[in-house]
Amino acid sequence: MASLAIRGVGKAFGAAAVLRGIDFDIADGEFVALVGPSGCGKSTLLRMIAGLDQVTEGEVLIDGSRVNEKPSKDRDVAMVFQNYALYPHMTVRENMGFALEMRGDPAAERRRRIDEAAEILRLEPLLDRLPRQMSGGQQQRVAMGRAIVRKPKVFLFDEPLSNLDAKLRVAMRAEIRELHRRLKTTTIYVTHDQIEAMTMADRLVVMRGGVVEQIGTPLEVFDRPANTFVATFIGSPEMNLIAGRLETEGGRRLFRSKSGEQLAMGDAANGIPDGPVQLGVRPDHLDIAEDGLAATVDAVEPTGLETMIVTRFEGQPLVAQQHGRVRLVAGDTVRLQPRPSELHFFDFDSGRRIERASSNAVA
Amino acid sequence: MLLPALAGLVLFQFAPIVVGLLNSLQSFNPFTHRASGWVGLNNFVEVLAEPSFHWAVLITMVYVVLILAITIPLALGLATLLNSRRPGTTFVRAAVLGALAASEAVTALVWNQMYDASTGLLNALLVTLHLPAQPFLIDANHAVVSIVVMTVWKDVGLAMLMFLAGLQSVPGSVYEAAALDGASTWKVFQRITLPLLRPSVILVMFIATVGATRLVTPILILTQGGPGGSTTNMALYSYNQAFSFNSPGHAAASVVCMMLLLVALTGGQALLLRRRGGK
Repeated sequence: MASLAIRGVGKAFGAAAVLRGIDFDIADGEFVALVGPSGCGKSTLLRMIAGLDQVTEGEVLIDGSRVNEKPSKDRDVAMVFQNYALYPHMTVRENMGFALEMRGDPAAERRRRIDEAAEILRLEPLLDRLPRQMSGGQQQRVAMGRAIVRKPKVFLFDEPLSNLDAKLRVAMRAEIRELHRRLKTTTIYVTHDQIEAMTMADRLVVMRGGVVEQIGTPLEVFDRPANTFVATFIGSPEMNLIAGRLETEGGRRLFRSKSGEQLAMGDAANGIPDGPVQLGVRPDHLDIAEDGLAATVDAVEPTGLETMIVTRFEGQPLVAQQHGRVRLVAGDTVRLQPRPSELHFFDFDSGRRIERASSNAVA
Repeated sequence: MLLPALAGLVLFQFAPIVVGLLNSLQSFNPFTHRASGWVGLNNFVEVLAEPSFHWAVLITMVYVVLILAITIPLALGLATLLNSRRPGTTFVRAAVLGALAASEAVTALVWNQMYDASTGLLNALLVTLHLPAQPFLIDANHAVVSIVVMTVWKDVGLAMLMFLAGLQSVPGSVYEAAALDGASTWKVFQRITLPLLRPSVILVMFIATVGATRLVTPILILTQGGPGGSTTNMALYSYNQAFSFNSPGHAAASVVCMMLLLVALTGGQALLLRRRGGK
């Protein structure tokens, strides 16, 4: 186990900078997810930590020691690749034992470690099989087995579940979490799936366009997104954003949309000056009411326990999530009322979060 | 849909084999070249009794062994070099593939001039370097090696392309996993690259073996089988029997022997590689 520090790390391919000023710490035994859309640089950052890509600027420190110049093999990190990268001509046992053999562990020790890892991952019946003779989920477990036999300081996972079907992905999520609970090895997990990141990680590092947008626990990031990107990226379905102005009329605060629709703010906007803002509201905090924003229903999507009502308001989609069944059809007009205590405010131009005066208003 | 291809296969592949087999069992009129009667295995008995045929079999084996021993490591090295995309690899690729694209007869003529003992480029270079001039095509041993060198130069490109295709089909992440597992460059080559290239190695061995066994044009142009028949292999022996000695029956019998040798060589290789793969 080890702590890890990323200090002002940047990466450029020629003139194109793909990562800029990445700065964060990972505590010993922590499980951190790097999450962001495709092309945001999260895999590049992971590869730089692994030593597979050169760091252009800044420092990567493992247990306080700079490892920028160290080759991968000397960093004591193990990586699980998106396509598993198993050696196709080796059996499961040989795949798992390769790293131990390369570092000169005696055969008996190798066997003991492989058997131990195989037991943890329930791979005992598969030890003599070749990768092509196994399912995707089994190959995934072998890739993890290959990582854990080494007992490395840091585990690096590069979108390891993206090649699996939805059901298996959920099961493997739990397995990886359980593995981390058991081994307590410092883990960095790259994913573009925010649900995966939210459910597995102790902390999230949300990235976009080569920079870190926000770092925090899953619920911190969900409840207090730093900007409109994080607000819409974290959470499914994504947060609704409504452009408009905060105004004060006769001592009452209200939000006026571009078309002039009004929402009473009560104390929700305390401390936020009048002016243009983007109002953020999560779909499950939008209620059907007598009063509120008049939106046209585009689609109604029942999922059993809940119903998604996809509407259009001022030309933008506005999604409401309701418990139970809803009797609406496409073309209906519905009034949607956000819960004032659950509102988020973002600067109209920069998209940065604007904090309210009373913190207890945020759930 | 399959009929045209099947017709072509029967006409140009199977029919000549059958005709060759039938010819090997007949005697021929040396003047008309017409079949004059069935002689059973007599042609085989006579061919197998000839010392020049024994020599041709031996030389054929020498060509096969030398060409395989040089072509495979050289092609693998070149493919590895090209796969690494280092500076200069474009030039190497163009040079190697250029040789492959050139006509075999033209190549042999060019090499014939280069090998010339008195006016050739190679001896001129050796003399410039104060090294003794070599009897490239005059001495028997030198001539065999000279033919092998020219053949390898000409054909290494195809083997290199096959190895390159094999190397490029290995996902880069496998090598990255090996780097993280602490494997040295040699260990990666020995334990990852080479086993994964096994299908390419089998294919290259097969093609190179067939090519080396059937080798005719370079021998015909460089040495005409000499000096003293020392570079005559089974293919040229058969050619000589047919067109120099007007003996189609003996030619067909030696071609059948060559086919059997080829089957034995490639079958043996396949068996050996399959066993090794199994292990």
